[in-house]
Amino acid sequence: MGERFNISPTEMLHLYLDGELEPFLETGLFHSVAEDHELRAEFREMLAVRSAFHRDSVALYPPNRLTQSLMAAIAPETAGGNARRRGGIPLVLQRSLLPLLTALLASLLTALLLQPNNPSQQAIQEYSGRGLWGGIIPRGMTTAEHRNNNIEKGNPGDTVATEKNSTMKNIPHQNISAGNISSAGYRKTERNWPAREQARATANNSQSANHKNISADRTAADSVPGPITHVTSAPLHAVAQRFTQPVFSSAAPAHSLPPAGIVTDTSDPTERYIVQLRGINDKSFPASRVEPGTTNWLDDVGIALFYAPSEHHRFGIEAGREAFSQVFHDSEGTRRVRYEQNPTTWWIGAAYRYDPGDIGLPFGIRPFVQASAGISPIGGVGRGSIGLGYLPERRVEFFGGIDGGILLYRLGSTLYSTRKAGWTIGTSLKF
Amino acid sequence: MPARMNHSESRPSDVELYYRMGADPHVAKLAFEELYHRFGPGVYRYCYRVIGDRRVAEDIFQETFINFYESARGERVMINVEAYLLRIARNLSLNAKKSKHNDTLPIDQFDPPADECSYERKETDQLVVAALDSLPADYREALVLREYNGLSYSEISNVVGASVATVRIRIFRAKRKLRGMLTPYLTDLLDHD
Repeated sequence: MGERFNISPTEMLHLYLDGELEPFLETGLFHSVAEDHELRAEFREMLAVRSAFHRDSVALYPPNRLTQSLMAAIAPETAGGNARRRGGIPLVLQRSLLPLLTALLASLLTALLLQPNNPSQQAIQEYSGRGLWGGIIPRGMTTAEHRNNNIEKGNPGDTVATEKNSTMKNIPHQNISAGNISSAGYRKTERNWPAREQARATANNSQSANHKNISADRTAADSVPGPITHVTSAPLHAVAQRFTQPVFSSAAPAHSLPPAGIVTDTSDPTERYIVQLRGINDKSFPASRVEPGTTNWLDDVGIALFYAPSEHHRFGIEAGREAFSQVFHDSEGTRRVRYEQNPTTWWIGAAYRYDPGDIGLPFGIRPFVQASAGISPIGGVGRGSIGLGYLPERRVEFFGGIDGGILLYRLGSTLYSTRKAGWTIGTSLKF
Repeated sequence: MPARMNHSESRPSDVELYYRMGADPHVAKLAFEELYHRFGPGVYRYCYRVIGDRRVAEDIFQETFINFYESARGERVMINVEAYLLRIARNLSLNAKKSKHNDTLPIDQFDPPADECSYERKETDQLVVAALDSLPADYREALVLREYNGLSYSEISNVVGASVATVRIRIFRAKRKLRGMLTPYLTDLLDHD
C-alpha cells in the first residue's frame, strides 16, 4: 500500500468513495476538500453519478420468464414445460388413472393368486373351501361338477340350494335339529356357521364323498367361479357331529345373518400380515403452477406392510412416492417475489389402521381409518385416510376413501409446510 | 401460501449452499434456488451492463447459472461463491464478445429504470448509463463490478484476474472519463438529487 501514499487528492477522493482509502489518509483528504473548491465539486458530482448507478442497479432484475426458464433447464425433472406429460399421457389423465391402474393391478395379482389351478390357491381352498367370490366348493371340484354330482345322488335340497341364496331363507327354523337333520336343515344350520368352519367341513366331507366322481380332464371353462353353492353330499351324520359342537350349536335369527358371499369373519389368528397397495391422488395446498414432472410410474402410489394383532387394529410401515408443491414468498428490494417448485419425493413411515368391523352397512362394507407418520428426503411427512372397504374374499379387501397429507420442511431458518388432500383407492391382501 | 414458522437458526452460508448442490437432487435444487435468490440479480446486472445487448446478456446469464449448478457435481473447493459466479459470467462474456465485435450498447436499446421518478431524472440517469456503456470494456467491467455488484478492489481483481493496482487505476480512469462525458449534464443531475 506504500504506492498509495503518493496519490493525488482526486484519486484519494475516489478511493474514499469506494471505501478503499487507508484511514490514516482520510484526514489529509478532508483538508484538501476543505481547501479546494474544484475537489468539492467533483465530490458532489461523483456522489450524484453513484446515485444514478444505484437507481439503475435496483431496477435491473432478472425477468420472471428468465428465472422460470433457468429453473426448468437445471432441473427438468421437477419443473414445468416438458414435464407436463409423462410417457405421452396428459398429466390430468395420469393423476386420475394411475391410482386406478394401481388398484386394478393389485386386484389382478390377487385374483391370479386365488386361481384354483394355482398350487398356492389350492392350499388356500383346501383350508377355506371358498372361491374368490365366496361360494363354498369342495376341494378339487368345479361348481358344475359339484352340482351335477349332487343331482345324480338324488339330493333335491342341494339342487335347490344352488339356484339362489334367497331360497334358503324360506326354510323353517324347526327343521333344524342335531339328531334329525334334513338337507334343508343342514343348509339352514350351515348359515349359522362362521364361514371358515363351513368351508372346512364342506371341503373335507365333499372331498371324501366325491373324489372318485371328479373327471381328471377338467376344462378351463369349468374352473370359472360359479354362483354361491352351499351344498354338500357328504354323510349328514358327519356334519351333524360338527353341528353339536357348543360354539356352533345355537342358531341365530335369520334376519341377523349376512347374505352369503359377504365375508364378516376376518379374525383368523393365522392371518396376521397384510400387504396393502394403494393409489393416492392428492392435490397440494398451496398449489404450484409448476407441474410435477417425473418418468417414474410408481408415482402417487403407497405400499404398506401391516401386522394385525387383532381384527380391528393394524400396525406397520408404509412407503410411497408423490409430489409435494413448495411455494415461497420473499422480497427482492421493493419487489414481491414468489418461488415455487413441485418436487416428487419418496416417503416412508410408521402406519396404523383401525377397522371397527361390520357395522351393518350394505354388502358388508366396513369403514376404516388409517394414519402414518414418517420422513422424506425433503422433510417430515404425515398422512391420514378415512374410507370404506369391501371384502369379496376373506383375505382380500378393496377400499377407497379420502386422503390428506402434510410435508414439513425447513429452508434457511424458516419451517414451511405443504398440505395435500384428495382421494385414495387400493387393495390389501392377508396372508 | 405455506405456513411459516420463525426460527432463530441463521441462514446457511454461500459455501455451505454450494456444497449442498452436489447432494440429493431435491436438496440441490433448493440450495440452487437460494443461491440464485442471493446472487442472481447481481450477476444479471453484471451481464446486462457489461455485455450491453439484452438478449446476449440473458443467454450468458442463464448459461452462467447452468455452469455453476453443474460445477457443484465435481470436487471443486469453493471460497467465494459470488466471485466464482462472476468469473463464469465474465468468461462467457469474453467468448461472446470474440464472436461478436460489438461491445457497446446502442442508446436506443437502453431500457429505462422502472422506478417512479421524474422524467428529468430518468433522462439524466439514461445519460449516465449511456456514458457507462461507452467506456472501454476493461474500465466498464471494473466500474460495474464496483458500483453495481459492490465488490471491493481485491474481489474485483479476483474476478477479472488483474492486480489490485490495475483495478484501482481502471476504476479511477473510468470515473474520470465518466465525469468528462457527463460534465454538461452534471448540474441537472445535482439539481435532481
